[in-house]
Amino acid sequence: MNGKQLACVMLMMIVGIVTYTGQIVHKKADAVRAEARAAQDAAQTAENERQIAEITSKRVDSESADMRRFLDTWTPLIDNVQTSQEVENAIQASIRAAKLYVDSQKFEPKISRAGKLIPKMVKATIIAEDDYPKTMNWLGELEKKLPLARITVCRMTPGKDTKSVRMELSLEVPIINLKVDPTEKTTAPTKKA
Amino acid sequence: MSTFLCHDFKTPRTDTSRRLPNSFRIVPIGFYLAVVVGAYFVTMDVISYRSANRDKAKYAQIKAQHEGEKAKHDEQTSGLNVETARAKEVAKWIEGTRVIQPICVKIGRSITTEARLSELILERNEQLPNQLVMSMKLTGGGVTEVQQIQTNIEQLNYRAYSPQQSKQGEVIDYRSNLVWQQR
Repeated sequence: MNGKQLACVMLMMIVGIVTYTGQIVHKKADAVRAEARAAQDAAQTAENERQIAEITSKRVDSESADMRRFLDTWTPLIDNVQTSQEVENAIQASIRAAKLYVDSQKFEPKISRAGKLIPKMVKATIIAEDDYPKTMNWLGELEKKLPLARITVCRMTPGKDTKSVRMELSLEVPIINLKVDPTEKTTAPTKKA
Repeated sequence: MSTFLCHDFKTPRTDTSRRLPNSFRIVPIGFYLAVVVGAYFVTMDVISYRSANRDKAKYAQIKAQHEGEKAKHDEQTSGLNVETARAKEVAKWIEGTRVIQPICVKIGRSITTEARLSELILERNEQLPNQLVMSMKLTGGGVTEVQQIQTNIEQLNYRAYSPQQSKQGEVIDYRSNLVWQQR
C-alpha cells in the first residue's frame, strides 16, 4: 500500500469516525429528548392527579362540613367526661343537687362494642324513690348534664306513699377517645409457626 | 561527471507511487463534507441535548411540585375523612341518647285521676338504640287513656309501632315500640 492509498484510507477512517461519533451524539440527544418528553408527560400526569386530589379534597370538605360542625359542637361535652370518676362525680352531684333519695347506686366500667372511638363506658344503675316531680326533674337534669348518657332501662313503679315514685334507672356513659382514628384498619395478629 | 548519475537521469524513477484513479478524488471531498456536516449535526445535537436536559430537569421539578401539592391535598382529605368518621361514630351513639324524661312526663300527664299507672318500663333496643320499647300496666284506665298516651307521645316525634294491648280484669297491659321520627 503506497502513501496515497494510505492517506485515502486514513481520510475514509476519519469520515467513518466522524459519522460514528455523530450517530452516537445523535442517539444520546434522542435518548435525552425522549426522557424530557417522558418527564413532560409525567409532569402532566402529576398535574392531573393534583387537580383530582384538589377537587376530591374540596368535595370531601364541603360534604363533611355538617358532620364536622356537629362534632365540633359535641367535642366540649365529650371532653368533659373522660374518666369513670368524672361520670360518677357528675351523677352524684346531680343527685345531691336534686336532694333525691337514692336507695342504691352502682357504677361499673364496661368494655364497649360501640366502635373504636368508644373503647369503654361506665354503666350506672341507680334506684331512687322520691316525689314524682322531684324524680322527673332530676332525670331531666341528669339527661341535660350528661347528654352522652344512654338510658338503657327506666322502670317506674309507684313508691311507698301515693306521691312518690320508684325509679330504677340503668344508663351507659361512654368514654369517648377522639384521638383514635376510626378509619385505621387493625391488623390481625400473625400466628407464629 | 559520474557515470552513475547519468544513468540515474535516464532510467524511470522507481520510488514514486503510481497515480491514484480519478474516482479517488472524491475521498478528500467526502472528508471535508463529512467534517462540515458532522460538525453541524453534532453541534445541533449537543444544543438539543442540553436543551432536553434542561427541560427534563424543569419537568422533574414541576412533577415534584405537583406531587407535593397532591400529597398535601391527600393528607387534607384523609384528615377530613378521619374527622368525618369520628363524627359519624359519635352521631351513631348520640342517635341512641334521645332524652326519655319528656316521654315519662307526657305519659304521666296523660293519666286521668281515675286511672293509675302501676308500672312503666322504657327499655332501649340494644340493636337499634334509637328505638324504645315501652311497656306499662294501667289500672282503672281504658282505651281513651291509652289513645291519649299515644297522641301525647306522637307530639314528641315518637311513633308507636306494633302496639299490643291486653286487658286482665282492671289492668291494661300495653306494649309498643317507640320510633323517633324527624319531622
